[in-house]
Amino acid sequence: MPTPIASEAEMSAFLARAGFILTPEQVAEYVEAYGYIVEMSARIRGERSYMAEPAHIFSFPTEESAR
Amino acid sequence: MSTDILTISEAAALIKAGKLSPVELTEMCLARVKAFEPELHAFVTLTEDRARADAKKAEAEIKASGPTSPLHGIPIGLKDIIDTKGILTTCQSAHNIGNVPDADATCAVALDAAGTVLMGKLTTHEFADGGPSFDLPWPPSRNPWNTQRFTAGSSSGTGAAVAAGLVLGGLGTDTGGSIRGPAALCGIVGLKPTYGLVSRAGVAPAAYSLDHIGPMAWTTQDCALMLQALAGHDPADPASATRAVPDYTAGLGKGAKGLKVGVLSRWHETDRPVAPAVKAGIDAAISTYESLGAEIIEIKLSAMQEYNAAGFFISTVERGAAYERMMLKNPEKFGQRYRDRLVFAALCTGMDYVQALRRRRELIAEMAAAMAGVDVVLTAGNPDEAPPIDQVPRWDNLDKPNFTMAFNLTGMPAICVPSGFGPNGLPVSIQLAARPFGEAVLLQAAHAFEQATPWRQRRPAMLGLAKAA
Repeated sequence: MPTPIASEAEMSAFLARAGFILTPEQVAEYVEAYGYIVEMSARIRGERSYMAEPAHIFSFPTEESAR
Repeated sequence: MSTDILTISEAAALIKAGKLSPVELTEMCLARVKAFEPELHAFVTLTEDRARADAKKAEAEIKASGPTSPLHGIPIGLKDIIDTKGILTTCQSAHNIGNVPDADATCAVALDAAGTVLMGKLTTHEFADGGPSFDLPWPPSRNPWNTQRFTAGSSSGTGAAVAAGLVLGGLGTDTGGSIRGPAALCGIVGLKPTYGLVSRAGVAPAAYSLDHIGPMAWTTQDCALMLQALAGHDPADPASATRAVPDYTAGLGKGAKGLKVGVLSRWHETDRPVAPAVKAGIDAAISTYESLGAEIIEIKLSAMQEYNAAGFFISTVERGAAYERMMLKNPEKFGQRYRDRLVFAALCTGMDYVQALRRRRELIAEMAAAMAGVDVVLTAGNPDEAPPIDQVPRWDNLDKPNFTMAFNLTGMPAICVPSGFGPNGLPVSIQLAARPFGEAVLLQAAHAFEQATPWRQRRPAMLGLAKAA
């Protein structure tokens, strides 16, 4: 289990922005899960060039683009 | 009631020879449903009248002019997130109680056109994610090898129904492993095709850019026969591929001589060490392929966690966008585990999503390069036998990477094929994957392994069959 690095206040802000209404007890249940999410968020970040675009931006199939 | 369970190809041969009628076959399946469904909960809706009508229609057509396809008169089931005209389609959710679509999904149309007999709508996790759940209007499906064990999901009913012979084949959907997981834990074959090969039109989304529809059946050959009916361009699906459909059965029986099999040892040895029975299955597959004349090549990829992390953000945020309105309006109608997944979406940022898409592009390129020198890659399907159904951790999609998500992320085809049994008598599986639109060679390699091993000879003990490996 990753170290929980998020405060419940931080999570509550995210949830309020989304319009999801949770009790403090429910928010507390997600602290452990949020630790995993923060850990994965760090994992997908790295040095990339400007040209490292999101997947599927104008990746037409070969047969289609050859027409 | 007969205890013999036929595969699709076996039944098709008997039907073609006039030795079996679709009506007789359908009644055999219905009898098994009556006997085992109370324990398995594989169906949300059993369409008994529709099945009998389909069977009679198929029988008349076959008597008049012979079968039009190997699926003509074959009883099948559809995961209950696939729209069926005039038939309840629940997505296993209280949100969809009473939802009766006015049109069939494209994949349902394709199987109907091939002459199949629709037995019913099969159990899923709620909106194809998050189970097992015990707080939904319908119970979760149970594993026919041991009904106290999990089927995996989300195509849980399809896995159970095929393994128990309630249907001869079925459709599942796969966003992070939802075809291949149940195939692995229920001891059947499950194929996730290349993204875009099978239309998603009329199927409830789990995550738009990761969703795949594919066949689940007892054998590789049966999956090939079903894929033949399902593949092809559909303008109703904006991501539908425009490629010609090859003969997916062409390579079956050609063995593995000359094939190059890449092995992803890092994933099952380091990133998520698998149980001894799963490792034994992988080692046996390597030995089998070598003995069949294939070349084994070790290939290197990034850690499985890299693929899973990118897949997590993409699937979570796309799911959240799809079901945001329901979550805002009636969150109490969701089961706890699906509501968890929607809460996760609120805890991700826009930058998380875009960074995951950028990482996805890098990982697609990495995997494409690694696969350039091989025909298929070999890894595990699931890390162990099925766990007890009441002991699946709440955060099971967060704390450990799975072996399947990588091929959703890259869109490449992948198949799970049984590779033995563990110490609890439950099935274990290997997973093979191929380059985009490489289903024909993928099926060839899977079929070669299947034919060289005895694992298709044993059915779940609850069926009371005498056959044993």
